[in-house]
Amino acid sequence: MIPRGLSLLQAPPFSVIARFFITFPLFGVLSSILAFSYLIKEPFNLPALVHTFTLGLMASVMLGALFQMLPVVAGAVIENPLPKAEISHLSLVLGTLLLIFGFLSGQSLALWGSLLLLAGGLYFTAFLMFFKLIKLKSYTPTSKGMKFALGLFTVGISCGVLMVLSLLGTVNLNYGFFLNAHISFLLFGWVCLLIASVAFQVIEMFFVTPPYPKNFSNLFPLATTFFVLLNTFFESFFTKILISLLFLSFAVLTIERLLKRRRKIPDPLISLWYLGMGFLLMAMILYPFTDKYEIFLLFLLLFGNFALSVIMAMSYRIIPFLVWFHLSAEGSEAPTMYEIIKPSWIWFNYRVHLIASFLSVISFILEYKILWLFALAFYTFSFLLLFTGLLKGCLKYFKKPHRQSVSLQR
Amino acid sequence: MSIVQYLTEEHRRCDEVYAQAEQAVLDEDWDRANRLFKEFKEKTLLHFRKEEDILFPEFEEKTGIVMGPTQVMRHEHAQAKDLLEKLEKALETKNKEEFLSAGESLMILIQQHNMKEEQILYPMSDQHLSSEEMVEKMSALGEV
Ligand SMILES: [Fe+2]
Ligand SMILES: [Fe+2]
Repeated sequence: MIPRGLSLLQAPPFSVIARFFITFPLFGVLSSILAFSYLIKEPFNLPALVHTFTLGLMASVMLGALFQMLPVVAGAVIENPLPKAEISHLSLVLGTLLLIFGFLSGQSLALWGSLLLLAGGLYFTAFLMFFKLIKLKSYTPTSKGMKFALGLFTVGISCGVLMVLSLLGTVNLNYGFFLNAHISFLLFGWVCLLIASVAFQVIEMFFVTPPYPKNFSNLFPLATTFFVLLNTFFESFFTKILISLLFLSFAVLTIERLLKRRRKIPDPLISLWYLGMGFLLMAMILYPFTDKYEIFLLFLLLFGNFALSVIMAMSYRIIPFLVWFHLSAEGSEAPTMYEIIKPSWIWFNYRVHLIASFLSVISFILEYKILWLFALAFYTFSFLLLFTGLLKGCLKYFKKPHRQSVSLQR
Repeated sequence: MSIVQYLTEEHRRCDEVYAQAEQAVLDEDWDRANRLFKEFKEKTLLHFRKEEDILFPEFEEKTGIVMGPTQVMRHEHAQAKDLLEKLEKALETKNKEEFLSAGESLMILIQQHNMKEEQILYPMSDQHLSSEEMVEKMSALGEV
């Protein structure tokens, strides 16, 4: 006899993950609203917009996913994850809102508050996970990549903290140097490295593809760290080229895996991955030329579309799978994945996202205000679809009666 | 041959047959789908048996870890078996949507299960058990 619910010993309770996945699309909506307000009323506040997206959306979904993946994929169990995820999630959400308000209003009290919440919450979560990971006895490229990514994340955050402190007038620093470090550590050392590390495992797992070349995935975390350091201390066209080449090769290898996948069924998530890799290719080709401010902005836009496409692909798979997994492990009659979120919904959301992302790039290049309006309308619609889809999926779990003892243990 | 190598190859063969079965369902070629799915189910169940009847008990005995990874693996086998039933029913009623939907859960469940085995459980087994002897015993049950 195998007692039902045992596999939950390894998987954290569903609410740990769900809370992050329900709020992140709302920050997408908020960033569209911010962008919209810039269209009608200057000035354009880049930090406020960027951080709505990077903290409210990207960091949130990535930390949420790590709460699930650390125990299940890397074998690093976080004890008692419920309160830890609560602290991490609440401080991130409130801190991000305060930071945006602080950037927009320039009020130092808001900036101080956001600093306290964000630094507290992010350091707490990153260190918690990092120290679980360094205790592992053996590593896969994925768990190694996660460890490095979390390490680089804390450095990147620290640069951010210092920059806010300098805004507040408490420290004096070379702003340009820290800005470049902040961007390199977070966009490449954290976002790209984490996405790649996860891809090393899930691309093969979700789509049954050949694995990434062993040397490539094994050396990837170290190479990223090395190039990011080079690009921070010896920033030049050459160091930027190195970073570009590294992530271009990741994108090409990923596309190649997907083309060679053994499961050929039509799947909107494959299309999202292709789209994401396409944007990554474009972003990385531009990266060495980001000295020019206009190109830097276009780079950010392409990079954002890359991250967003991959995040959508991941969340539309993770949430239905976890809802099914937890319900079936608890022994209740579990709906299948297509019943939890319909593929037609995901296809529709993909198409809206596709239109939004291409419209935004075209609007940027052509500089037509009216096109931007359309692009933002499509983005807003896409984020609302994502929010509704994920929320409906999560509710399929929360609406069922649960055996508390099982779902709340650990 | 190591346990890692032997059982990992079995995982890959099962994946291969499942991908073919899924394609047949997609083409609504129900005869082929039935034949391939039957083959997939037999291979998967035989593979589970090799683990549950031979590898896991030996692992538990040699390492003394009884309530750990092997229990989680057994439980996931049970979840997979439920899904196999669901898939079979969908085939009987020629319900394409239902097959693909349950198949999606099965694939992720099995893939993440296999990764845990290939990356943790099998290497540990190779370390603590006699690989040759294990592979020999498992082969005696038949070939996947
Ligand atoms: Fe197994
Ligand atoms: Fe296995």
